[in-house]
Amino acid sequence: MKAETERTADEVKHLKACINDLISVVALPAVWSGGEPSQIVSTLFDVLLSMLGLEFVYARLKDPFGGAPIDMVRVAQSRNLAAQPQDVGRALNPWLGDDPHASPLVVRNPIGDGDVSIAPCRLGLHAEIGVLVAGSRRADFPTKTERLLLDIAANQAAIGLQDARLLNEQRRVAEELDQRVAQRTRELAAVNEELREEIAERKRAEEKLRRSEAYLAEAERLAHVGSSAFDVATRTIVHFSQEHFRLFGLDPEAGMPSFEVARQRIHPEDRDRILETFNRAVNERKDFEADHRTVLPDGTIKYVHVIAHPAFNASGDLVEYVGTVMDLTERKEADEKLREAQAELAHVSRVTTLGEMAASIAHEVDQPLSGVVINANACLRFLTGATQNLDEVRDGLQAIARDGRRASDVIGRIRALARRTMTEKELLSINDVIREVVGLAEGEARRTRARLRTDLAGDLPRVLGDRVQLQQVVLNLLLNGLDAMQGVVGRPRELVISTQREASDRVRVAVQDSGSGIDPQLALRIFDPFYTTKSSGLGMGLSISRSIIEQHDGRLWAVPNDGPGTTFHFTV
Amino acid sequence: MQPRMAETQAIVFVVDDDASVREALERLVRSAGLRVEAFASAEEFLTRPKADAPSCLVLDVQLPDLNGLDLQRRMVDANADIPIVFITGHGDIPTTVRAMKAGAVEFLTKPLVEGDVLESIRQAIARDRAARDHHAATARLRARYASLTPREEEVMAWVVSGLLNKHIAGELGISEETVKVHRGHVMRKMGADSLAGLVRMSERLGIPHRRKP
Repeated sequence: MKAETERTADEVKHLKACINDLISVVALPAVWSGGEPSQIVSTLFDVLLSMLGLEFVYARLKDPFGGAPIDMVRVAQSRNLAAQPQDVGRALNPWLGDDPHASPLVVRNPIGDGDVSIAPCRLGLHAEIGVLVAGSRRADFPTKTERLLLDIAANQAAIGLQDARLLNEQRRVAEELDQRVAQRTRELAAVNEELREEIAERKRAEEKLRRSEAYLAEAERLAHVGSSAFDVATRTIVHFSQEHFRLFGLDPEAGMPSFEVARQRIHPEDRDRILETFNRAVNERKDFEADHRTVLPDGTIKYVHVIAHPAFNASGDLVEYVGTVMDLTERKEADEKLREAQAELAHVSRVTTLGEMAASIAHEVDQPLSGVVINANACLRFLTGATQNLDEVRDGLQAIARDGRRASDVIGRIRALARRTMTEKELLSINDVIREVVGLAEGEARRTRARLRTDLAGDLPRVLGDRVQLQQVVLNLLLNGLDAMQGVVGRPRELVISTQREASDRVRVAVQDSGSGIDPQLALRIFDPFYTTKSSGLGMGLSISRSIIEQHDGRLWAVPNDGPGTTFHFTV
Repeated sequence: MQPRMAETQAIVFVVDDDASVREALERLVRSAGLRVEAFASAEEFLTRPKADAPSCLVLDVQLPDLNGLDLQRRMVDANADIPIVFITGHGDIPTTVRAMKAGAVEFLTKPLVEGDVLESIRQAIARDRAARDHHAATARLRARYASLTPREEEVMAWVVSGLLNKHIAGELGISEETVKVHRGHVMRKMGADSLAGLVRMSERLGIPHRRKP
């Protein structure tokens, strides 16, 4: 009974110890919480060594990322010896994969002499965490209770290690996430900064562009020059500056005008010509330049000069025409006023010249009129009496008709020259112009006892000119030539007016005298206004003649002859 | 002297560079029943042989090559002058005076009056005819005078100077009778019917009077 009781008391004592150990083991996770795997294993080793009175505890932990496993070992303090975990691992290796319940296993003590009983336990259901091996010098190790404690401890450790691993993983992920977020944030910040820079730059550029455009618009307005661009493929206007809108009388608010709308603004008389010229330029891929008028909605007419040049892309295709349009209206108006003043001056000069020629012109009219009167009297006498002769009467009447025409021709020429006209250009024969003037000046030539000779080329093109003004020029040169020969004694006073064809359908007229010539020192001044060597006259003749010829896109100049005298040339 | 041609009918020369006026004048002259020859320049006219008929020249003062006054002067110099009727567009007095002094018959200004022109032409021809007659008579006289002997010329010179025969005989150292014979020859050869006639002839010939020493 006593034995019974003692046994029962031992049993109770043993059970109590077991329960205490169990509670210690079950309490382990609370200690481990948040710990590192090495701490967990270290705590586990301490608990198992002291609780089970072990020789050693060994663990091999698998690397969750597939690296080399980690060996750890703890030896009982009483042994006071340091063991190399790898050496222990190598010694225990044959049993590490074994069924942990095939105990007791007796092996050579990996850390000392003799044999030890070992109890391997899986960490994790399939030893995915690793393996734990407890070694004891007791032959009965492990007992059932010890096995239970070992299993529970191993299980708890597996859970703890698993948690630690997860925690580690979470930390790692979180860390990486933090890093990535930080990296991304840095990147974003950089991009953001770049964007901000870019936006600021763009704003500055826009501001610059806006100012530049404003300056350009102001400059265009001041210069009366507009600019435009025309897309050739789509035949659309892709750019029209403010001034261009203004010059075409179009509203900028209405957007880019269509080609047709812009075309309608061109003066109807110019429209076809301009379009044809432009199309030709496009076909030939060449520059385009033309003058035309625009008609504004209020009927105002503007004169513009257009220049455009083709723009090509990298592959050499014609893409668009970029051009300018210049307002010439004010210049035209000024030109018109100048032309009016010049025409007025030319008229005054003509009338003055005619006045100076009055005596010789009267003679030119008197001559045929004398002929008429004398012929008429002769005819009357031939009609009756002793000398009656009807043939003579017929001839006489024909002469009268001819002389009458001659007188009226002279008067017609004078009237034409005296008329106050605006410039009227027509296609005319320069030879006819010269003949008419010679017809007027013959009296003057006779008065100054000079011979007037013409040498007119037969193959001259017709030239565009103002008949009256060109007559004025020829008359002026002719009278100057006669005047220059007034003092000539001992050689013939001959004035030769000749014409010849020049290049590009132009005509050159030369008036050659055999006079005293021009003093070389004065040669440059003869075309100046109010310069004269004569006692009569305005001194405007050559000045006016030169401006008339320049208005005909020609040139008037004087050349000394090889012999005596001067030759004046002009081209039209 | 130009070679002579068989021209007896009066002839009118017209020199004018203006065709209208020239032809009209030609026609007018023809209508008066006169012969006419026209020239466009003075030079052209000067190359024409002098006409052996009463003639006159109708001349434009203003000619391009040689003006009317120059032509007139050249004709006078060449002793080939014929009466000139000047025509001018504008009668300026100095020119007129010079022309008239140089022997112009008339100075007509335009517009020409047909009656004046023809009248002037008639006068000019009449004057030329008279001048020609006068010239012809003088020429005949010179021929007679040329037929005298030197002694007869001497006697004639003293006779027309008014000396009596005996004084002439004394001057020449010959007899009065011989003087009478010479004087008779002179009267006959010269065709003089009186002393007065002979005196007129001597004046016409330009024989100077002799004075008693």
